[in-house]
Amino acid sequence: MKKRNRGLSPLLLSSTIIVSMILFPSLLLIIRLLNPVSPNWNHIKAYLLNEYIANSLALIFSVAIFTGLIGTFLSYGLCRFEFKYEKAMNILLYIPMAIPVYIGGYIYGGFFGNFGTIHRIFISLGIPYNRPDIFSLGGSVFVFSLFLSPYVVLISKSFFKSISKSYFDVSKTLGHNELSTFFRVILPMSKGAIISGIILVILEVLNEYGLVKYFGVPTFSTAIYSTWFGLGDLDSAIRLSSILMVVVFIILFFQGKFEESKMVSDSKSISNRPQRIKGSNRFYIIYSITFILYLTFSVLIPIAQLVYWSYLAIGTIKLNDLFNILTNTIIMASAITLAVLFSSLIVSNCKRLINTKVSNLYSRLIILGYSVPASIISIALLNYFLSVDRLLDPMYLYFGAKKMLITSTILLLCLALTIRYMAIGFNSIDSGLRKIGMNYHNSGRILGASPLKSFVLIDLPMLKHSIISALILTFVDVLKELPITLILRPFNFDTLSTKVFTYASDEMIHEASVYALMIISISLILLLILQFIRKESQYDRA
Amino acid sequence: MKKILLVSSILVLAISILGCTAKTNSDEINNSTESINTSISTENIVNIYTDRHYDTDQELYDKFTSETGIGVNVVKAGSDELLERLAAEGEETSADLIITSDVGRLYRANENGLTKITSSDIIKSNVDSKYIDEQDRFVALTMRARIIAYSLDRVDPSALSTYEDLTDERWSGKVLVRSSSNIYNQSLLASFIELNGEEQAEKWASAMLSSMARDPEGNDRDQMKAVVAGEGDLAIVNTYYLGKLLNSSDPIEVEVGSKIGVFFPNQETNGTHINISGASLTKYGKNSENAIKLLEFLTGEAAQYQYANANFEYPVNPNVEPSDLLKGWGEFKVQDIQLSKLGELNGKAVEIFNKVGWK
Repeated sequence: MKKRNRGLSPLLLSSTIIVSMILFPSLLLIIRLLNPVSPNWNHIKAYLLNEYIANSLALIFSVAIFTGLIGTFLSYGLCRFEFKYEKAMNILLYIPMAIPVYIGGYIYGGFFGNFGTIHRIFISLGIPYNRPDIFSLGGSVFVFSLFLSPYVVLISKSFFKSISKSYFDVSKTLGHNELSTFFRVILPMSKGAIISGIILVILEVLNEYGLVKYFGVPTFSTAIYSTWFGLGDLDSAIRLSSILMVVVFIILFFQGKFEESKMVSDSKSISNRPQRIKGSNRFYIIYSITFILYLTFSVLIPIAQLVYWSYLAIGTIKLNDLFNILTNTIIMASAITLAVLFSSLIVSNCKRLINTKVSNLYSRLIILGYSVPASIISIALLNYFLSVDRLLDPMYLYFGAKKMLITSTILLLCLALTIRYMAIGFNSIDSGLRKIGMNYHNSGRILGASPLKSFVLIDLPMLKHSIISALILTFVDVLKELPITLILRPFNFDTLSTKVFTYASDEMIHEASVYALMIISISLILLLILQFIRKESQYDRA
Repeated sequence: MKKILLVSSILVLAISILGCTAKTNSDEINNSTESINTSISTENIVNIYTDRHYDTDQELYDKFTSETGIGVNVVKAGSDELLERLAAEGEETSADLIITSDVGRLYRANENGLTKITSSDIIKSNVDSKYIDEQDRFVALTMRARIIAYSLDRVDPSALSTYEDLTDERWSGKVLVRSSSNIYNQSLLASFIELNGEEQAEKWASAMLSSMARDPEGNDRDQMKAVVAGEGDLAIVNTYYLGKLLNSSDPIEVEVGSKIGVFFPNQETNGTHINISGASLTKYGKNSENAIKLLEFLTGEAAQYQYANANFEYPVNPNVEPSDLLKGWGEFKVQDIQLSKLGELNGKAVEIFNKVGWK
């Protein structure tokens, strides 16, 4: 036993390094809580918090329910039943994720708003137009749910895909039909994965500022930004964020506890994966209607609107720096995705193999960086890396490196984004690893393989789906990431998403659309490549 | 095997780092084709933090580089984040110049000790003195007016007079204006605090709530579209966005713009509210001389002409006329107020907005 623990210590060490990179900047925020309370604090409490918190809660609950329902239904249906165009459907379901939520807001503002697409159709038909109030809490829920559902689809799907056939067989033997099997067997066991997806959605909603600002729905993040930008009081803004962080941490902590107690058994082998079955006609009708409706609003309309706007921008858009922007975007997103995947594998494996309080705590802490609005965490990261730089300056000098090596280069941005998106990658990989459980790994160990060898040769191949989900999530998220890239980038560094923002913030949505479409295209290419790889590996196995 | 884990972890980190630095290198190469020796010489560059994202600005910087050989490096982001970055970087900052599209942020930068005095005779001769801070803390580059846009079909402009008059019962439920998180609304209210006192300003903001046609939502263009769609009769908007609307590549937006009238309020009283885009030298900038050269260039006639014509902003150089479109709206009396006051009172304005419940 002793030997085993010592053998695993590099794992614990590297996890500790990774987690501390996330922890320190967050601690910087919490430490600022000790600063004396500014007079603004009372003002904020008196006028902002109540309504804004109420809005945030309403948003979170509604969006969680909608994305949970849509995401689970679409993803489970696709995993369990035969579809002729299953691969294409898979890819289509992920595309909404590539559309930043605030751009979704502009799209639907432009679609339903005055002189928007629908209004124009009505004008040309000569019918008076009563515009639906999209600029509202309901409208925000609509937009959030559309563009965030893929998070639930992705994470729950990698779980559904690896559910063992025996569960279905046993349930069938006991006389349950498909529907009751789903509710009584599948849903309880996949609750953890679905909740993981929903939590990512909730974190996105809590962080979001662009859409709620445009729609005029003040939320908790509005309070944070209004305190910082309006009152010029960053300390109070950080105080608000820290509260948010603590609340999120508590929720996650209890969610984790709850899940652990429920994780009784692990589902098993890949080779035991069930064949897709043919569903009833009624199922296909309901599924098709849901699928088509969802895709119409989350892919078809948005892309059509963006294409139309891009067409209007043909005469005005300047694309002279496009090559640079594209390479910046792609290289950065790839590098960060790699770093996130790798670190997530380490920490989640550490949590699994060294199942101590410390390693479990790590898995909770890793999500911290994601619970604070991005602009706030970017300031914390900046301060953190500035102090690292100041500390290491003599070393830089010794090696002849640049002064302020991290903060004066792109390193700052890469590290910051890696820290930020660790939660995304980790969540997906962790839920995969938990499902695989320890049995296979232990068999490997009994046969004399080292922990690492067992992990690489046995666990990793079984983890394929989770890794691919994590890869898609992280890559697409980094692709569309905005606040951190905007503020921490070095001089003359543009990505597609900063271009989208700079145009959109200036009410030049036509020009912004061109770049938004490029983000979608790159995501689509990634999805196609992954699909191709998956196909190849299937042939390999055959 | 454990060693492999460590080695490979270092390897991946190294790769991702390399991936990143490789990109910076290529960036520098690309830049150096435009601005000679960006990375080597610290002499011949100027580094800017700006929250103005316009293509026009970049064109002007490029022009400056080709005229003077001074390379211009830019980070574009929100002004508040940039100020925070500047503050955190302290003496180590590489930024020489901070440009924002709101005077309040320049004032705040100065209050936080992030800027230094900008003194240049050329700038002084270029820019109308009311657009230069009286203590030389900042200088304006362009100017925008916050006007009343009205429906040409339904509103007789002779019925319009002042911002204060918008709270009159006549306009109850007819005025469109965006949310109070918008900086131009904040500086508008700040100007009222300065001119009419805090109490009156609060009364105005509170009374405006019942004049509003709907809860604040959308951006300036959306307010004008709502006027034309009949949701309200008046909108408080920036001239700049009407210019953009009228010159949109979307024919329907142009049509919407053509149904909007421009009214400069408070001409009989204390003048129409304006806000500026302006610049300050950063306290720890290493290329301040170059920064001043850039400011001299940007306030010069050629650059001011380009600002005015490409971007529908009012020039601050009195020798340069506004674009034909802006001239067509007529001349107007500008609010007589020290611009720095807008910054000083910004926080107060936000408090009032929160207090009265202007979303």
